[in-house]
Amino acid sequence: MAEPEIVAFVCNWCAYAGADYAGVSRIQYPANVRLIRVMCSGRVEPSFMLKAFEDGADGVLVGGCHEADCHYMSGNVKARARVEETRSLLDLLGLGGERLRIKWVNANEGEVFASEIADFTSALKSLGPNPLKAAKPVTRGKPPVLAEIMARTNTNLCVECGKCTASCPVSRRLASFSPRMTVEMSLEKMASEIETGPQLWECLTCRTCEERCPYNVRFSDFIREARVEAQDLGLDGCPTQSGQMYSWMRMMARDGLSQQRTGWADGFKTKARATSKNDIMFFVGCLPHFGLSHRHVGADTLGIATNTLAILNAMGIAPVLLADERCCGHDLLFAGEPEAFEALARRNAEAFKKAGVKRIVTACAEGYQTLAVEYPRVLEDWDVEVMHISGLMAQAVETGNLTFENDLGLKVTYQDPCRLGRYMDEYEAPRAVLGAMPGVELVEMEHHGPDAVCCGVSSWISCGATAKSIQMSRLAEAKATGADVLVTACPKCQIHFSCALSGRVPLERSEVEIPIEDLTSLAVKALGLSLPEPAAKKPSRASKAKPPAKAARKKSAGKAPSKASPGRKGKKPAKTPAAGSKKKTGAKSGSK
Amino acid sequence: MSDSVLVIGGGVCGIQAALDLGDKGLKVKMVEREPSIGGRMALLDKVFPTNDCSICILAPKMITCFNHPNVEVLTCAEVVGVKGKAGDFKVKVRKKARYVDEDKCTGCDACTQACVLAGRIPDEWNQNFGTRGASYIPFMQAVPRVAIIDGEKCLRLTKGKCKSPCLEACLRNAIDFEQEDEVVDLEVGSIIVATGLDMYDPTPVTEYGYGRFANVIHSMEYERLINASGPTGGHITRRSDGERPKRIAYIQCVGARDVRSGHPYCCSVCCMYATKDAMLAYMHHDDTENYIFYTDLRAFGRGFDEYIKRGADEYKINYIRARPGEITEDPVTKNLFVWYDDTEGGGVKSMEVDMVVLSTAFVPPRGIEELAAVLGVELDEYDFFKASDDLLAPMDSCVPGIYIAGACTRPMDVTDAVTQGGGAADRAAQAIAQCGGKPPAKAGAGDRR
Repeated sequence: MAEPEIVAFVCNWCAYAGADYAGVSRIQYPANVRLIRVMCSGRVEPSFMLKAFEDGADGVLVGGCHEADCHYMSGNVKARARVEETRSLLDLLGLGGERLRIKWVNANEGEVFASEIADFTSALKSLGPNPLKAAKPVTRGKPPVLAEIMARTNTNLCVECGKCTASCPVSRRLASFSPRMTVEMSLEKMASEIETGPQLWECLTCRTCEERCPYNVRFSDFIREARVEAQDLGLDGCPTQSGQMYSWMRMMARDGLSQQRTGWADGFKTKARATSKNDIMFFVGCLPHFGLSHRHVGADTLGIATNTLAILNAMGIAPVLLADERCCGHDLLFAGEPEAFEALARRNAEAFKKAGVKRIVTACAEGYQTLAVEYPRVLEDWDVEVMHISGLMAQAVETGNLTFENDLGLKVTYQDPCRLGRYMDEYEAPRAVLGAMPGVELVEMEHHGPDAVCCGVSSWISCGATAKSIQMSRLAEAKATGADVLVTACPKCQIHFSCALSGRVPLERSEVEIPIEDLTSLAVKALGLSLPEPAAKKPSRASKAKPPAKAARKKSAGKAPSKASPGRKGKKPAKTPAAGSKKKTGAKSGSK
Repeated sequence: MSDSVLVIGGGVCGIQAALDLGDKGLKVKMVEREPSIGGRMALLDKVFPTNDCSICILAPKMITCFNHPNVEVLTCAEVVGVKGKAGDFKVKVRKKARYVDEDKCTGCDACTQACVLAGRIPDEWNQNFGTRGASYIPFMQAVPRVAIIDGEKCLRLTKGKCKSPCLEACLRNAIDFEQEDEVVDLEVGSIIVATGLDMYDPTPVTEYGYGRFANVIHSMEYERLINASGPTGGHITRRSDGERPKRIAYIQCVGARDVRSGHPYCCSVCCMYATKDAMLAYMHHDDTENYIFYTDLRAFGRGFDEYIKRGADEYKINYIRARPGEITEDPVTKNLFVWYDDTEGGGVKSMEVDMVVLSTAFVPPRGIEELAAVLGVELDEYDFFKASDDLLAPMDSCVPGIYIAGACTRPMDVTDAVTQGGGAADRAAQAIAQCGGKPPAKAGAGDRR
């Protein structure tokens, strides 16, 4: 095979110096590594590591100072936590966490550095090349021209009344952002000003303006389409976590991956393919991935997945779970990458077809909207019924198939997710579900239903001061209702609100601090369900990865068999055997 | 072959048509759904562009019409069946029970005061600002000035349990609980439809908080508040605390020029009546600040533009070109914040005001689809009556012998409604003449205008 390529991020003070020391000491080691010097290993974000893999690296090494040696106090410890998290992500992606290593190398440990590279190189040789290496990235198409976008999104009809801008939560905080002015610019054919202007990325695409526009100008869609050209110009919206989410989404859009992402569902009743037309597939989406990337803000999105499974099981449904399901593509679509979105849609549609799936439920408002509306837009022969878990639950409550028995004694308020509410016009189902829970009293926020205010960020774009300000006033609104819990029906809402509360807040904490829970979690409590053991363990393994690195690795080795099990259980899809063996090597690297 | 004309709707347009026909010597049957004729104009305070008192100029016409020897007015009545063709229509009218003998009642108000529910039912004639009893007279200048007993509210009629002090109070024994709905058969030669309009209910425009915020009202409510014969005696007061609003915002095009509400058309009168409303507020108290949020000022008629200019110059009305995005409320003071994008000055601003008046769209009246089906005439895409030719036969429906006039054909102001009423009267008279009926008498002796 071709020689493995390793990208090594090494800190200026120890690891780089160690590599340098190996050099001046004439210590021989394989020439498979490309060094990138950073001031501190703490500078290395998951996005850097993922980007390296996206671009075809076979392995990534992060080199830092020994513990307590960090020149910036704790950068290396942070790096270790990130590496752990990213290894788990690589496992989920089917690339294998063992392709990512972290090594402490002192400035005089040339030998250590050299032997690490030698060891890593030989390990990578036995692993084989990064499967994405051979796969072509998704090719970009021709971006739509302004006139086309305008015709499609009705901006031609604008009478410049300013209702959009006066409704916009961003414009209220950021004077430079004006949907009206942006549309006016389009009417004056100022295409390049729009594409390069900051307003393109500040839009939340929350559709508040569209909801109120008297002439049905579809501003969110206008923005979405205009972002395509901007992407071609190399511009982006300064994505959250420097775009690590986009990296894994883009990887999923390509050939080569063979994921085994259903390990978390062990212990639940699931199946690998539909046996009847009425069988329901649970489209999990990025819930397990966000659980890792946003663990630090305290958002338990994997919990949404396990809760949903528990609810489905309680309804007597053993849903289809696909081990190689791909991201739905929502975020890339809104970030100006329609081709990657379409590639994801096609891969998913093909997998759904293979598994005989005709009905899908999601626990995510964005996934729901994307599958229900955007997929049929780009796929010719799409005939899948898509539901959001709230709709399915509301149906089941109505037919008596789901009865909440536990009295929760809670006052709750509900955040309408943009994609569920304004995009899909689903305001009733979540409220019906809440209404069916004994002891749950729903108190509405001042802005609710079609007037609900967005959680502040969409598609990982423009998470900044404006977003924080929107989140704070929204949380204050929730708090002012006197509710005990803020219920959401979209993992993104949960992530963004949790994030806003995870740091310092500009107001009195008591004015904004409110527990945030997903509708599914409340439902599980009201149903009195207990989650099966292995699934409950998994997230805790992830959270334990933080303290001592070695212990964490051992743990990951320990859980490897359980991860392999879905592969065994599912003799179904063709991808299974390869992935299963990969898991075993994962266990090896963990115990190294 | 009949020489009579049926006029459906007793608003200003229908009244004009009936008077013109009556004066020509033709018999007119006027069918009005409500207990009083007068229509929407009877409830207004003043009318633009002259700022005449609305009821002062309409009431004489209402009374003339009602007492006209050639005009027979059926109130509480609806057309439920039409057969035949021009010159020979057979019409079925359902006359709902009033439970009061119209011939005996003098409108003395004794029964309305005696009613055990007096003051306990929201008064829809006052846009629910005031109250009435189960026995009531719709409004002070109602024609006929005859009481009506609300069959859906009256305790005796609904539950059979009431001592009915009204019976004792009525000195003329006019109250008749045994009265029943009856079907009246009419034979007419032609028909004029002048059923007027409804106002758009702004509740679905949730961002403006109508129904949620006490001090957000719509323009018809404002008309009743500022009307001297209205529930507050002409004092504009806030629903939240009864105080006089010093800063009033008027929001134009609510539900109009709005594809989402299904009314993409311009109502053509709101720019004018909002200006009038603001002028009135200023006339009442000259420290009132008025802000009109408009999309485009469409003051197209003769003297209209000057009217707007007068509003700005003499009445200090502030015209702001913006359609506000939303209204929020101060939970303590119940003042309102109007959020708008100042399209001329620039930037999103919020303005604190004491009251917001929504200038709501004119929409086709409720029941227009059923009536169209009964008449066999067509409706346009917005459910207004459709003319056979918008340009050259604007008052002709698609059925010969049936004519349409007034705001049931499109939003229009009083002047236009009166013009169309007169025009439709001529068309209806012509139809009868063409069918071999009595030729219209020359204007003169019978002319009561």
